[in-house]
Amino acid sequence: MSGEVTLWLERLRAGEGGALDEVVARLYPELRAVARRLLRGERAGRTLATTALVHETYLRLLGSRALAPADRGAFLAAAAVTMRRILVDAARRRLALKRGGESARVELDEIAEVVAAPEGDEELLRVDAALAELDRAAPRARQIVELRFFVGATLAETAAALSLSTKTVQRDWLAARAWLRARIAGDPPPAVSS
Amino acid sequence: MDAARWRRLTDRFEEIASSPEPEARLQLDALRARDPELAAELAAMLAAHRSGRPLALERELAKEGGEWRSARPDTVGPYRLIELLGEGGMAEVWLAERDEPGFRRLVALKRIRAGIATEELRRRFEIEREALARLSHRSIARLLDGGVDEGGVPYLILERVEGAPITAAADRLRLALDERLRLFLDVCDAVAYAHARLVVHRDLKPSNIFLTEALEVRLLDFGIAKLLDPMAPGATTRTALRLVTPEYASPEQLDGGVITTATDVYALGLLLFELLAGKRPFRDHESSVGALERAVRELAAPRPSDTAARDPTATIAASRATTPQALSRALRGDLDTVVATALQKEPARRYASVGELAEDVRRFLRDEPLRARPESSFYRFRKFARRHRAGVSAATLVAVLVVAFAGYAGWQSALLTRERDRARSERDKAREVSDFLVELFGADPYADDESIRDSTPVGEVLGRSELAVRRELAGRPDLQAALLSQLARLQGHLGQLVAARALAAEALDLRRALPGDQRADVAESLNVLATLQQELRELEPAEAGFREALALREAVHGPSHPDVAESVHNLAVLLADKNDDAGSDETERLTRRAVALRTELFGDDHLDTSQSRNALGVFLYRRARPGDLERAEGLYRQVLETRRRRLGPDHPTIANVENNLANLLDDLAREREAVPLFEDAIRVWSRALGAEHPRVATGYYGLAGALTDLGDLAGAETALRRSIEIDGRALPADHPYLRESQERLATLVARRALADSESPR
Repeated sequence: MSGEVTLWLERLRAGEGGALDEVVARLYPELRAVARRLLRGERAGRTLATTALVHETYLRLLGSRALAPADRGAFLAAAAVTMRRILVDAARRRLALKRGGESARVELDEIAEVVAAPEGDEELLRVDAALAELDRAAPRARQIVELRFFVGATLAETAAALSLSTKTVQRDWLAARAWLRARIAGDPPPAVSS
Repeated sequence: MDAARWRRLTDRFEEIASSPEPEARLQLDALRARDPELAAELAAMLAAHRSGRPLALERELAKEGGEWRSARPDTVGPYRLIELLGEGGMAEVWLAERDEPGFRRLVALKRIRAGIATEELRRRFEIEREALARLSHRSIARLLDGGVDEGGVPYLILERVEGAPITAAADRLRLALDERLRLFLDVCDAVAYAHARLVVHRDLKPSNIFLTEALEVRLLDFGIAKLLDPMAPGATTRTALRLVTPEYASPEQLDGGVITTATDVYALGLLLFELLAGKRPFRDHESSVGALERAVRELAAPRPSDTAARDPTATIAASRATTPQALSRALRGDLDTVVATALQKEPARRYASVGELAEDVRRFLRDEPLRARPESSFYRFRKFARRHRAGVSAATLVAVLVVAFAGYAGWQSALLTRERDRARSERDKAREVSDFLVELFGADPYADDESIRDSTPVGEVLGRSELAVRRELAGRPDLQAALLSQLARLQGHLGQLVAARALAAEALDLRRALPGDQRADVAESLNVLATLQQELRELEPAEAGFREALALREAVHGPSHPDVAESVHNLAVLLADKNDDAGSDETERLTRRAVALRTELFGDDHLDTSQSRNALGVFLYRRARPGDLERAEGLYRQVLETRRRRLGPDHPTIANVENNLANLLDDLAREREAVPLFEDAIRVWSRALGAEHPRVATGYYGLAGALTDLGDLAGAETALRRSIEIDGRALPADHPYLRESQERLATLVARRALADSESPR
């Protein structure tokens, strides 16, 4: 039961080979749920996209040496951030292709063809850039935004995951959300490197 | 932006955002004088906060209710979820209550977790639910209800068990050895009972075995784990392993071997070890999964007496109200032997059944010598079966058994049903029968589809089984009768009615000749035989059989019992089938009694209740007084709805009611509605029962009638010929159905000839 996940997370932290497989297998439904909420809304091919995103995330986590989540919430948060990163990368590649014209035609990789975030590529990249800016000033606020948006955590869950009071989380959250909204609405689209 | 600036932003933002509009504007104006840039940023944030366009990400947030994990509903079907009790990889268990005013009953609700309910999982979940419905044992958490929620995810409602895992509870209560052994026997009793129903638990461990406040044992979590594997495509042994808890896995589970009742024997050995010695045998190897797997595969389990002796703080002994030395002494010898036998690496070298394991524990408690696994006739038979089963997929028959067991509403498991208060010899007999079947067929009832698919026709496997039963069980007429009865049922389900009838009659004769009180068994055999006679249109003997079975069951069980309800139902259906005016009142009375009894026993939404409701529909359809047909249509549609919802679109009983409804609509001159129903019934029956099953012929017969009424004579003739072709193989030549069909075919051919001659060239 849930104790098993804890056990495997311990082994993952201890660097035991194969532990990530076991954690992913046990949290697979949660990972799919996180992936679903990060992807575009109801439409055909969503199952495929969800699966592709979870699997790509698994591969990236497998290559990550720094992965040492304290608990299941932290693991899901790390996975969610990785998923979002995959979406950002895919959006970059699509935009690069769109703007590169004939001469710079590149083959899109499979994952970039399948997965897309709900807000569309340009807004996705703007949010990503804004989050990077927020991170420099207020890493905690960025974490809160990631947990709320990407993992889908409630205020109380976010507070528990970061060992903060709900009131603090609420304060940072409202300010960060307003700041992001204002930043996205006001900013020109970011430059795309190709 | 830097950290200091962010802090100022958030401080001022909170202040301003929580102020009413005019005051906020004043504050902003004041700020603008000192720090215009900050004021501009705050103004933009405030506008975004009050009326800004939400980010696309926020829409997702609102839609999913901001939940941590998968979206979870507040209610499932009519149940309100209260608290998450536990979750495994694939399923979760909730404390729930039925959402009805003035009535509060707490139950445990188990469901496949959102997002992973594939078709295959749902189908297995439903089969599992039906099998669980047959498990009624004081030590097994009862299945109360089940269904499919609004999102199409199946769920089970189980008795709520309050207590703690048996090992922890026994320690807390400081139970002594013999008290622990008695509890262990209760566990064995429940597991053996399940085996008798061909249900192998496969995931027995303390967290699935609760001890209640009243010191009663309850098995939870019956066999769900084996259904569920999210990584199924391309699954390897290792992915299969993920489904079992490494600490409680048997060697064959690690190796992806065949899972039989012996797997549960092993798990019971682990449980006994832990109950007695306070640790799992391979506790010292649990530092990594790899080390644990190696130990389970390669190392002989330590002796409980040795483990108990190594108890430096004496806590384990203390929770058994003794000292380490005394505990070790008590375990040495017989209990060491019992545990070692249960924990053999090779399944064949363990106790042959849970019953044998329990018997040795009882012998220990009575200070009698242990049984040295004598060469019983069963032992020899198992060897025979192993020698001769080459080429026969073990899983084939067991799959049929399980499907038959779970799927047919008319299937009544009296063969292996044993009331718990009956003599122990009865229980042992049931165990032996199931062990026989399970061992004979090597049996993983839930084996993968690959291993179920098999070149040997099921009928041939049944034929060989019959041979084995006659040859090997000649000295045990009680078991022979039980198995012949079982085989009769299976042959009947396969449409081999004549062969099945002979087997059923033989089983009945054997049982009537047995000494002692055989009333329940005789009733069961009568029931099987009469069902077959009815299908063969031998209605007089069938009626006599059903009446005798009903009388016997009422005498044994009283008026309100599932078996009695079944007999009332069967008799009612037969009388309706006879369709003579003289019996009409009795038929109506019995049919309504069956509906009422099953509603009372099982609830309104139960498949058995649906079955009787369908029968009431048939009765009304046949009687056809004013208003009857309309009422029958309502009943049929209700039954169709329940069955589709509970069983999916492809279950054979769906075809039954589709066919009934189609016939009714045909009579009401609504042939255009009838035709697609007939066609779907034919499709479903062909898929579920095979294209040559007599039911398929029934469907074609009805379709031919509707097509004739619509003027499609060519289509009607094709359908009717197909019907006759199938019936001709399955039914005796003088069967009334065949005669009727042939007469209609003659008329049809004549009409077509006439139509052709009249049509202009």
